[in-house]
Amino acid sequence: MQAEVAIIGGGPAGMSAAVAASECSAQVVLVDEYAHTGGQFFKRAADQFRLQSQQLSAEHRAGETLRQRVAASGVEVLSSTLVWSAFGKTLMLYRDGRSFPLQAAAIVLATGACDRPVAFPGWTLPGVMTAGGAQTLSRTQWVKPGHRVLIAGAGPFVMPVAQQVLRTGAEIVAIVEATRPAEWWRHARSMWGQWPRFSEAFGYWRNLRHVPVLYGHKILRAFGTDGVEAVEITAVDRAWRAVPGTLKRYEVDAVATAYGFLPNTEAADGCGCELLWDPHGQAWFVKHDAGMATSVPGVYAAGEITGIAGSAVAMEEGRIAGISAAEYLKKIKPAEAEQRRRPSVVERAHLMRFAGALNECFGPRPGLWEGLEDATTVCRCEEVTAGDVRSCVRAGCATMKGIKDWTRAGMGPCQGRICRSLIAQLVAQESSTDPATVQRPRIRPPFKPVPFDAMALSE
Amino acid sequence: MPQVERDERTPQIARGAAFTVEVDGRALSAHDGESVLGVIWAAGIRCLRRTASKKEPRGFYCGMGTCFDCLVQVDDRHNVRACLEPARPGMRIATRAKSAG
Amino acid sequence: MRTVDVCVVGGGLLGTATAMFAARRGLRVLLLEASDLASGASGAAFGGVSVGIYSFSAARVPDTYVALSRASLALYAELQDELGPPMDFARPGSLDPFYDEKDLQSRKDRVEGLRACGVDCRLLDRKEVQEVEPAVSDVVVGATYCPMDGHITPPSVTWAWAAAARRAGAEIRIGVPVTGILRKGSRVIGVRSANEEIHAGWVVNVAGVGAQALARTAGIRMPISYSRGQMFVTDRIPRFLNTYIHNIKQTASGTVVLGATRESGVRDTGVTVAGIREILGWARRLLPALDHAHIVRSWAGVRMVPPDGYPIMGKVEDLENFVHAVMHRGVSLGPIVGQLLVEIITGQAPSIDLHPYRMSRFSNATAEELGDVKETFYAAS
Repeated sequence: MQAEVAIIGGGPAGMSAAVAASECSAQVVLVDEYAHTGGQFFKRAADQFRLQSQQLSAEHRAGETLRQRVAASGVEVLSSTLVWSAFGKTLMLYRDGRSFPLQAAAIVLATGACDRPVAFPGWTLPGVMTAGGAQTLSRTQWVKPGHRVLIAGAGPFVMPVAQQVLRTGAEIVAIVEATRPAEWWRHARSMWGQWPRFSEAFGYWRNLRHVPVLYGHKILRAFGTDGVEAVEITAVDRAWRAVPGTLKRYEVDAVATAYGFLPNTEAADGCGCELLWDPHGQAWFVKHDAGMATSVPGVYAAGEITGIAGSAVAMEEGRIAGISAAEYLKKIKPAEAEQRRRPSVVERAHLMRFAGALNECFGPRPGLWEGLEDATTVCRCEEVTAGDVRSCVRAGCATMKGIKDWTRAGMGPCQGRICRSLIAQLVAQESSTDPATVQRPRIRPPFKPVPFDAMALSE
Repeated sequence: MPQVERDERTPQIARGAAFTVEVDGRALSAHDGESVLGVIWAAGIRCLRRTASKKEPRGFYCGMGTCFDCLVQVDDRHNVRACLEPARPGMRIATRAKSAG
Repeated sequence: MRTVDVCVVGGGLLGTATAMFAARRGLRVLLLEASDLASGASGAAFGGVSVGIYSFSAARVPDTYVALSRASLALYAELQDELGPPMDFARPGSLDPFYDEKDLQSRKDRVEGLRACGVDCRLLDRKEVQEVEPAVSDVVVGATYCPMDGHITPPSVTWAWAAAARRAGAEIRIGVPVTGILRKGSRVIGVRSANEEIHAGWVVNVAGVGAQALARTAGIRMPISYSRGQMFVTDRIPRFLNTYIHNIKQTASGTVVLGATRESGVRDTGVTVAGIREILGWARRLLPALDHAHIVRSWAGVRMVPPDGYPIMGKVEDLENFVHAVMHRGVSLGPIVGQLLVEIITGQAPSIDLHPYRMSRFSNATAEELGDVKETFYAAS
């Protein structure tokens, strides 16, 4: 199979890139792991749900508009299709029991982000989930995550999740926000002109006005035998470190954590793209230029993998990347490409001021990684604890590879997606270094598990 | 008729065509368009597997196919992510499957 | 200026074994590793510890080599008793299948030779193979079966030996590439790294992929070829393998490790579609139950292959205070190599004759001429 432009990821960035590249007369194939496009931002219930308009979220409308543009554009969409490797610009795909190559002339990476894993005693209990997971269950399945739900996090993502959880009929016993409103005023200037954000926030505030909110608190531990039954939260200082003697306990049966996002950079890494460490976000993002080009010629990146900035920025970056990919293929001349990109470049810059402020204000602080007792699991797949990792480092083994070799952390099916960031923080604590210096493992095929027979018979 | 002890589904939501799936030998109701995780969670089941060495209970974590916590057995397939797998009529699902984890 | 008794260059199985045994003898040991422990072949190997499986096409394996392998297996068992879980030395026995009737006679000769050396080893026909290993398909004609063989996870054993070496007083420094061996006439006196010179009573070159280049800095010409092995591992599936097969094993956690390609002359550690097709295609023909698994991860390692396939190890002619060891079967032979090198260092006569493994047996060849391996190796069919 061939594509002039192959797009990996069908969320707002990927769909926007598809439309933009197609408008420049490129032949585009969009590959998406999920059954429905929309990624995380625009996730929605399957078509078989017959929802009434008041049951649809605001994101639903934005997502539908974009989906219709993709459908009208002549882009070939391969849903339920996994990209499991990249050999140069040949992508290996898995779909319907079969593995086959997609030869691309240019690639746009738009693989999005996932919720930041936050470890604390009891975080592996059934019923403890990420806010994204709570949102998925609520919005796409219309199933209550629990009867008594506690949401703990930092920043505005808590609000749409809380609203959706309420709409399932669940009760939210508390929203636990790590920052305090007093800290937000520093960033007030960057919010000037961002009126859609204000009206959005007002809408959430109205719908959530009966939900108790605690500011300056974080989740400390979860309790339960076969599932979560209670949580303890604690007041925190400005570094999100627990303030002793301020514990509060809640009886709950579901906990959702919303402490930011980590970009899914495996495909970018696998394509050879250079990544850059962002200290605010405590994560590695894909390095790119103003045209969204990565360090690999003909490979572009858009959306959350270049920086956590929301769906509006993702769509602008997607447009820019799609246009740049078409320019690379000489479908349009540089002057036309500049002209086409210009409105998105301007809008992106405008939106980034707000997004940047959010990251600074609500980005993770050191106390987030302090709740790790020795018995706390860090690698969920292989059941490796913080204590196991600390012993390893103290015995002289302080590289990610060494820790992996010794403890098996990172060797399970998620291949370190959940534990990698936690381990980097642990190593940094134990060896008094910066997590940025902890070496990343080499990404190898498959990017995600592929059934044996399909992979064996790869074309 | 499927014996459902609990149903955590939000009422007033019109769902796809109804059918049953088997979870650990019990018939549970499901609808076209629901995921295996949605069906399981709606029935009040919380433990999808037990970990290999410490036998700890696990449910789901990320809900988006990244964490591989929600692994169940579906028919003769092992280690299937319940959050991504569409429920289909006649599926036989096993939680706490020996292989999972 | 640092001075130590023994400077070990290379942090794989051979290096950490040597450092462990040397430190236990009371020697001041410094191990220098360029990158990370087990970052070379020891981090990418299948992990078979066997007396029964050899990759030579020649039927009879020299008795001395079998003895070397047996001694190593025995040492593994001792170390397992001593170091416990980190060693994770499982001994389910090994099966080495063959797929063509033409190979039957050479296998008979192989087994006969091994049994004559006292190795418990049998030749099984297809039916007998399937009794031992019901999951094996009819694609096999027969197999060599060695009930005493076992396997390890090489990187975790490397770390376990490093920890044991440290406990015995050895110093291990990673991220320190050694750029040269220091000589004074016919005596080796130490090594040079980026920042410093280290004087050592003895220098041990067990630097794997870097051994040949390091040797050259001392004027030693070591003939070595390289061969890449791509490997794969599955997710956890219900237990279905009783032994380990050459080269497929099911670990204690239920994952299945599969390998390995033999790509002569390839020194890059990438994984290719051709490698995927070769290994996975072969594995599913052999073990159809694998179709229920997922492949979770792949990797590749580079093996060192001396021209005749047998190890190069021991002293170097006309050079004092220097020993080296480079080989293809470093996993199986790790402990015995460490022990033998330390015996040389401490002035004992080696407990196993090292004459067959002297590098000077290749004296007619230069490193450049000996680019190819003389004996053919089994390819995964």
